[in-house]
Amino acid sequence: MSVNGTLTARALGISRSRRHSRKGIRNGRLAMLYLSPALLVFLVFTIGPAIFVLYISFFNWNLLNPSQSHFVGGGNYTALVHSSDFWNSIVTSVYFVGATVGGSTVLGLGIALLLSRRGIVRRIVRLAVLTPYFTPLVATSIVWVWIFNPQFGLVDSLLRLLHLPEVGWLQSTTWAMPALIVYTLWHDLGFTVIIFLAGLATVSGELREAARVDGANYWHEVRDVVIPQLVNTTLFVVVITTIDSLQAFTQIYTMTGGGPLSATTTTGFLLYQQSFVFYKTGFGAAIAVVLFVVIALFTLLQLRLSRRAA
Amino acid sequence: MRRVTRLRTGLLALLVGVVFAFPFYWVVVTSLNTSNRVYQFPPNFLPGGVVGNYSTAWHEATWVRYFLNTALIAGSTVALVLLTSLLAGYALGVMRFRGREICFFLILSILMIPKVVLLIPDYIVLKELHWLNTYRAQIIPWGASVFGIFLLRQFFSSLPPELIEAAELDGASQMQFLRTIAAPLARPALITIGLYIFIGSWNSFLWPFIMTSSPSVQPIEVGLSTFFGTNGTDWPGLSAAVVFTTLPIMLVFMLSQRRLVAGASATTGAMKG
Amino acid sequence: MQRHRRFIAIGAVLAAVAAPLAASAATTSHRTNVTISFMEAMSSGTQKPTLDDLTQNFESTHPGITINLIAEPNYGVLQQKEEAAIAAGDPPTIGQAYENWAAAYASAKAIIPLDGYVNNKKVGVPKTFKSHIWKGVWNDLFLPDGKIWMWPFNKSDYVLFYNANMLKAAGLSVPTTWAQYAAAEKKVTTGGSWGESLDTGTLSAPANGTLEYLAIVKAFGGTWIKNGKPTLDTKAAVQALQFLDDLKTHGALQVGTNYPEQTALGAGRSAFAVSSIAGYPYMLAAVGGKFNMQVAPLPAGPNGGEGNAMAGTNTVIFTKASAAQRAAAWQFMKYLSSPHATAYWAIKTGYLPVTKSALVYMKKYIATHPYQKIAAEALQYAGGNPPYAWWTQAEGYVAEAMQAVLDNGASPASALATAQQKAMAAASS
Repeated sequence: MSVNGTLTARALGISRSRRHSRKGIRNGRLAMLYLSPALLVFLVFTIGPAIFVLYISFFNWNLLNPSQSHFVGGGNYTALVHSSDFWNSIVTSVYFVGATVGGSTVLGLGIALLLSRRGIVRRIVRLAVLTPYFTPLVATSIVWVWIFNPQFGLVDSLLRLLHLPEVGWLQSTTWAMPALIVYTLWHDLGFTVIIFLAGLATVSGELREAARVDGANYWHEVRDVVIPQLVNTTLFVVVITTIDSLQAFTQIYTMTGGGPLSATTTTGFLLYQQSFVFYKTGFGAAIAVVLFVVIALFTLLQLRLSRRAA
Repeated sequence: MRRVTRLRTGLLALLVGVVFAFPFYWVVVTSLNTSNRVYQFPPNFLPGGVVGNYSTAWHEATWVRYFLNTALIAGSTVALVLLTSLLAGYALGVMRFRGREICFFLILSILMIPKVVLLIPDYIVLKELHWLNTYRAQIIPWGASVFGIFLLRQFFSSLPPELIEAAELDGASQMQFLRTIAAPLARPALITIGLYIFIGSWNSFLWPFIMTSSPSVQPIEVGLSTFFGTNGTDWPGLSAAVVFTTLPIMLVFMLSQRRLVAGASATTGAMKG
Repeated sequence: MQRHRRFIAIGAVLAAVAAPLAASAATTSHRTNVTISFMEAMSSGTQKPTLDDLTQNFESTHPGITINLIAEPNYGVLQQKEEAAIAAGDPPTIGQAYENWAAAYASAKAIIPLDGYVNNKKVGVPKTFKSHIWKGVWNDLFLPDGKIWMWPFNKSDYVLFYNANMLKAAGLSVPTTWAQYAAAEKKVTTGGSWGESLDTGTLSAPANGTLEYLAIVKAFGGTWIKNGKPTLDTKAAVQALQFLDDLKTHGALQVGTNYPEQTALGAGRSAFAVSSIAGYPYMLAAVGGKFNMQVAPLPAGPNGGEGNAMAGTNTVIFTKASAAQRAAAWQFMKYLSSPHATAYWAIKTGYLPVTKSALVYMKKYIATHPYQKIAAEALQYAGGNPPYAWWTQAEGYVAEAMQAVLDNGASPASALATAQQKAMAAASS
C-alpha cells in the first residue's frame, strides 16, 4: 500500500513537474518535507504559544493559578481601546521605529559612502563603526546610562565644553527617547553599514565614472547614480531594522524602564509591564493580539501598494 | 577640487570613527582606573594603569565556561538556522506547490508576533519537553529564522530556471541540486544570515535567565550581570568584563571582515529578485 | 581553591552555632536525602559568595539536604522567573519574595503559610527568638489574613550617607530633622556641588528615590495605605513631595538613573545620599578614600516622626514542594535567620541582621561600622511593602508622580491625585 502510494505520488510529482517545468518544479509533498523543520520550530515555539496568547486574551487570566481565571469575552479589548496608555504606546512605538529605521538607513548609507574607498584610515574607521555591534547589548546599554548621566556623563561634558545647557537625558520626557535612539543607532549601525558597503560594491563603477566625466559633483553622482542602484539594498535595510526595532526590549529595560512617565513605553514594553510586572496577563495578551493585527494589516497594505506600483 | 573633497570626506570619516569608538574607548579607560578615579569630575579621559580590575573581574565568574557556552549556543543556533532556512527557502523559492503564497505569508506573519509575550508560554512548552536548563532550550527555539528563510527564498527565486532544468535533465534529485549547486551559490547569503543570527544569540538577555538556572549551561550575559545587580554597579569591573568579552568577537570579525562584506554584497544583489 | 579557604574561615566563625543546629537537623530530616532549590537575586558583588558560604555551611551541618541556588540578576528577572515557574507548575522549593509578590502568590495558592512550622514545638522557633526579630521585620512576615507567609532573609533600610569633609567646610552638623536637612542641602549647593542626587524610579521599577520619598511621607505623619486601600494623596504625602520639589528648584536636588546617589556622593559633588544600607560596599568603593564618608540615621519629621522604608525580601515556600522538601526548606530558612548566619550575612554584604540577637556576634564589626547598629535598630519602625498584590502598581504610580513633579513641573497635589486615582483602580480590580 504505502510503497504503491509513494510510487503514485512520485509519478504524480514527476508528471506534474514536467507539465509545469517552465514555471519550476511542482512537488507539494517534497516542499512540505523541506519546510517542515522550520515549520516545526515555529509551530512549537511561536505559533502554538501565540494561539495560547490569543486564547487567554479573552480571559481575566491568572497566570499563577489558571483555575482562578474567568472568561471576560471581549472585555480586555474594550479596556484596551479605552486605555490611553495603549494609544500612547503606539505613538511612542511609531516614534522609536520611525527614527531608528530612518536613522539607520540614512546614516548607514552616508557612513558606507564615506567608508567605501580604500585606505588604512577607512579600514580602521570601519572597525570602529562595527565594534559596537559586537558588544553585549545589556552591558553597553548600562554603560550608556553613564554616558548620559547629567552631571558626570560624556554627553553633558561635551555640551558644557561648548557652553550649551546640560540636559538630563534619561530624566526628560523630551530627551529620553532621542537618547534611546542614539544608543540603538550606535549599537546597530554597524550591521547596516556592512549591508550598504556591500550594496555599494555592486554599483556600476562605469556609470559613476560617466557621471563624473559629465561634470556631476559628488552629491549629484550619489543622488542620480548610486542611490537608484541601491533600491533593493535600502529595502532590505528597512525591512530588517523595522523588525529589530519593533522587537527592541533590552535597551529600554536597562536604560529608561519605559520612563520618564511613559515617554519610552513602546507597545512592546507596555506588554511586558502589564503582563509581568502587574500580573495583568489577559490584558497583556490582548495588547499582543492587537499589535499583531495592526502590524499585519500594515504589512499587507504595503504589499498591496508595492504590487500595484510594480 | 577633487583632492579637497577627498580630504574633507577623509576627515569626516575620521570623525565618524571617533564618535563610534569613543564610548568603547571610555569603557577601556574606566576598566583601567580605580573606582575613585572613575567617580570624578570633570571626567577622566585618560586610562590609569590599574590592571587589577581585570584580574578581579576575571575571578568574579567562570568566564571560560560562560564563553564556551555562548560560543556553543550561538554556533549551534547559526548552524540550525542555516539548515532550516536553506530547506525552507529552497522550497518557497524554487518549488511550485499549492499554498505556497499562504505558507510564505504565514511565515512572514511570525515576524509580527511580539516576542516578549511568548516568554511564559515558551517556558511551559520547554518544561513539558523537559528541556529547561539545557543547551537545547537556548538553541532549538531559535533554530528557525523568518529573516533567513526570507533572504534565501529571494536568493533562490533569482536562480536562472535553466540551471534547475539542466540539473533535472541530469537526473539530479532536489536534494542533490540543493546540496551541490544551490547551497554553495547561496554561501554569501548564508554568511550574512550567520552574522545576524550569531549576534542575536549573543545578545539574548531575558531568555537564558528565564529558561536556564545553572551556570554550566548559561551564556556570558549571566556572567556580566554580576556587575550590575541589586544595590549598585561596579563600573570598573563591568568595563573590564565588557572589554574581554568583546575582544574575541572583534578579533574574529577583523579576520573575516572582507568575507562578510563580500557576503552581504552578494546577498543584497539577490534582493533584486 | 579560594572558595575553600573562605569556607574554612566561616566554618570557624560558625562553629558555635553548628553543633546545636546539626543536632536539631538529626532529629528532623535524617534518613532520606532531599534536594531543595532556592530562587534568588543575590548574584552581584559580595552577595553571591556569601550566600554560597552560608549554603555550604548549612549543607555540612545538615547531612542529607542539598541546596540548589538559582541566581537571577535582579528582582525584576527574579519575579518574572518565579511567575513563569509557577505558571508552568514547576516552581522552586523556596524563593525570595517581596510582601506584595507574596500576596499575589498566596491568593493564587502558590505558596504555603508558615505558622505550622514557626509555632511547631519541635522544629519551630522559641518565643525569645520571635521577640528578638526586629518589630518592623516581624510585622512584615504576615499577610492581611493574619497568617505568617514569609520568613525574613535579606533586610535593609534607608540611611543618610554624608560627606563629612563637605559638611565641616560648610560649618554644618549632621541634620537630625528633615527641615535641618533641607537647610543643609541648600547651604552646600554652590556652582559645582549640591545636596543630593536621587533616582525616582519608573512605573515598572521603583528605585531608591521612590523609597526615600515614601520614608519622608511617614516621617511627615502620613500613611501609604489605610484599611487595605492606597492613601497616596494625603496632606503629608503632598507636603513630602513639595519638600523634594523645593530642593530641586533650589538646585540642591538632582535627578538621575542607576544609583545616581552613589555617583554624586562618590565624586565628592553631593553632600548627602539617601540610600539603602545594603549599598554601603558600593558607596565605599565610589568614595575610594577621597574623603571621610559617614552614615547617620534618616532625619525625623516635624513632630519627631520617625519614618523609614524597609527594603530587601523575605523567603517563601512554594506549594508544589513535597513534605520532605518543605521540612528541609524550613530548616534552611530558619538557619538563614539564625543569629550567627544573619550576622555573617550582614558583615559580608552590608544587609542588616534580622534579629537583635545577632548584634552580639557583630561587636567587632559594629565597632568599625557603627552605622550598622543604627540602621538595624531603625528596622523597628521601618515599613515594608504593604502586603497587597496591587502595591506593585501603586508604588509605580508613586514613582510616576515623582517624575511628573521633579522632572516635568507638575504640581505635587495634582500628580499625587492622579497616582491615587490609578492606584485605587488597581486596588479594586
